[in-house]
Amino acid sequence: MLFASSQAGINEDFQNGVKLYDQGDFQSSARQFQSIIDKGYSSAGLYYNAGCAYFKAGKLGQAIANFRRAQRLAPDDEDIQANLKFAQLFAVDKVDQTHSLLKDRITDYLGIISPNNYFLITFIAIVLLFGYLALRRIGYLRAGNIPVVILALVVVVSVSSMIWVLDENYLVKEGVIVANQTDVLSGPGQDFELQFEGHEGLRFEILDERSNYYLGLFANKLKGWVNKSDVVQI
Amino acid sequence: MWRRIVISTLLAILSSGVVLASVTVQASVSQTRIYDNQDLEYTISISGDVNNYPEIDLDNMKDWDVLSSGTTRNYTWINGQSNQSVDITYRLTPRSSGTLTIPSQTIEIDGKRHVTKSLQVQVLKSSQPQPQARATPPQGQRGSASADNVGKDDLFLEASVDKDTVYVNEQITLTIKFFRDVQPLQTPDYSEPTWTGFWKEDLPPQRTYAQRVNGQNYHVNEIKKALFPTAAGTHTIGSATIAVVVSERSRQDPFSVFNNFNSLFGRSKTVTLHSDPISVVAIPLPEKSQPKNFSGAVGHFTISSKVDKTKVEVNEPITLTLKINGTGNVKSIVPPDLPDLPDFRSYEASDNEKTERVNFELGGSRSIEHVLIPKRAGNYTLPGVQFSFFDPKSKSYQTVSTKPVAVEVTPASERFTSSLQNLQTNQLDLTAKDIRYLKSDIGELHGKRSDPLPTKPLAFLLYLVPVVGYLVVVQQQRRREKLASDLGLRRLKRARKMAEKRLSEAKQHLQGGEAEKFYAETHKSLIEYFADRFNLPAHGLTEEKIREFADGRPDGNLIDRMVNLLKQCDFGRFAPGGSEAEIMGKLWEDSRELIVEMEKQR
Repeated sequence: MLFASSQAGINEDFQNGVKLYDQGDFQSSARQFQSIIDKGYSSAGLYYNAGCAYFKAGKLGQAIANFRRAQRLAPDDEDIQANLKFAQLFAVDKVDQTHSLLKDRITDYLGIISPNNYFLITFIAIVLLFGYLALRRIGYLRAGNIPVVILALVVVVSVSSMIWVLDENYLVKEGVIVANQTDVLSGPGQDFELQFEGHEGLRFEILDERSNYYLGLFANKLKGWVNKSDVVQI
Repeated sequence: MWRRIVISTLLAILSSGVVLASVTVQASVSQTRIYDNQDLEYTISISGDVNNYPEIDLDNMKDWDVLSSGTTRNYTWINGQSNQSVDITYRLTPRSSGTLTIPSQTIEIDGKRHVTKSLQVQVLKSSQPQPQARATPPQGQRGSASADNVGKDDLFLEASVDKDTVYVNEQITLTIKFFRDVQPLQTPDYSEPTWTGFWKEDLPPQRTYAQRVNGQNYHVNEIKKALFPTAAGTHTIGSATIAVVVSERSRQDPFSVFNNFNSLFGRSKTVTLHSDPISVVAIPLPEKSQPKNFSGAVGHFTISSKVDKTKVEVNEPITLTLKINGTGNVKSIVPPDLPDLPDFRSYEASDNEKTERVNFELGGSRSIEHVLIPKRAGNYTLPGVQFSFFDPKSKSYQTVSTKPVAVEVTPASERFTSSLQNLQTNQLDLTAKDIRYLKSDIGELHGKRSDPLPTKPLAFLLYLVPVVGYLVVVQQQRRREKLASDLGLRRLKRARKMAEKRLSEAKQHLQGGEAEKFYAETHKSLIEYFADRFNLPAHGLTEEKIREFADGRPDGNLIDRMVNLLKQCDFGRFAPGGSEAEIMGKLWEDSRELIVEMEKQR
């Protein structure tokens, strides 16, 4: 109820952000979109616009983080894919693009359908499968096993794809470096050895966390600890 | 026999072609007009059978110093005839100015004397010395060697520019020359100057020549660079550095072939030379009368345009090629924008540059291809494209323009309705230069953690709904099948229903006052209920049989009551006269109650 009543106000804020962007005031535009996100709202369009404004304001890390968030909500949106790809061209560390091309390609391919839609497809396939079995049991249908096999296949493929997409995009916690440069250390503290330097826009998988540090798995298969203040979690 | 003689004679004549070819000797010079500080190449070419030629000593050269010599040998075989030629090239420097003569040379080959022509060369006085032609070894712009045995005039590095004040983006030609009067033992190690504030382009080829400075002959290696200041202000071209390994022992003739032998016996030393840095002032381009479309090009350019076709269908792409040609830094040119073409979609397809270096001046061409896709049929004129540049020679802005092009667009046939989509996406992907624009709609709003449905395990309970539904159906179906196959069970299931049906019929008889029928129906309902319950034939059921089959189930009391009720029915049927409605009513009630109670004991 609270949600519905404030929707009009949120839309106004959103349009205001668009207006600021049109005027070329990208920093204010980014702040405007961020304020909506900070209120607890999210949508693919909101994250996308925030990403655009951050990009134009020169905050590459925040831009990539927001495009990625948008991509999670709308994996089949071409604009989001294009802008994420484009923004990543500006990242200093180019490792993201080079790792496991096949896996990325499968994720891109399966990601055309959102997990919610996979869920729906699976549900419909299960209803049809058991509905068909029930009708056959009762004797209304005298068909063979081909529809059963097809529907069962649909269920298996759809469930597997759903798990893949979820695993790649949702269950995995991801972080993006937003500081210009940050040290990737061998342990959660300044006293540990420097592994390498990560730059703004570098994405990594969050494996673990301590009070001030994330343990990241980077695309070059290196693991390292990054200060939380230099990172946003997607 | 005669035939053999003829053939062998012919073969002898053919094979002696080399001998038959005559020997010619010619002399030539590379230039007939030079300055007195330059050198020229004097070549004596001997062609024909020149397996052996005598040494030529140019002793009769009075006006010239001979710096070096080299030999090139060519061998050709044309139409079964071999031909050889030898070019002996000498490098000569004039001893004075004026019209100097290179005297004729006499060469004896195979006992035959050949005489070359004498040649005249005009040697001009270098009244205004060029940067590379100083009368004295330059002091300011050059670095020199500091080795003990190697004199400071034996090796030096010199950097010079053709202009020290230029407009922003106007070419400066930097010349770096390495003078040496000693033979380096290894290839010198050269490091370029720093170019901060300049756009740099190489100007090949690297030249090697001899030059006479202050009466001393130097071997000179020269490289040139084109520099373009990128911003106004004073910029410094850093020092070029060269490290040369020379022999410490003695001065050597830089042109002598024996130097390498000498170096075997001497100690070597590395000499590092630096050229002096050069300051260049870049003046900003005048702001006054700067054309609106000016984007920084400096030099002299022309622009032309070309379309691949002038008659197309709607959606059929036209390629418009703009070509900017001229002198100046073509690489830094910002291609001009196409004018607004509301009836076309336009995409930049390619941008190619070709640089040329004519007389050490950078120039070339830039070709920009635009793909235009007409949206509507009609006759259109593609307006001329304007390009502005600053010409430093005339110190003014100039604008050049392409000619307008007329294009006829006819309605689309099927061919161009489908191919459009592909073309558009390809072109757009190729030319993505910025992020895509914002979305105007916020879309479906979620709460903060808007994880998809399948991340919530409870959601998967939904999948169980159809499974459970199916199991229910299966269960029902099984029961139905069991009933269908088990007569006793079926009778048991329907026993009460049938009994109630008969009892209600009995009641109708009761209400209709038909006592006999009432008793008969009630009796039938009780007997048949019992038969259905125990899957017995209703016919012939007596009190004894009832007790026998019931066998204490349901309990004896109920069976007693049944037997009692059956007796009452029999009594009523055979003595109906005495029946009163009240008794019949009670009998009916009792029968119904009995069946209800017996059902409870199932």
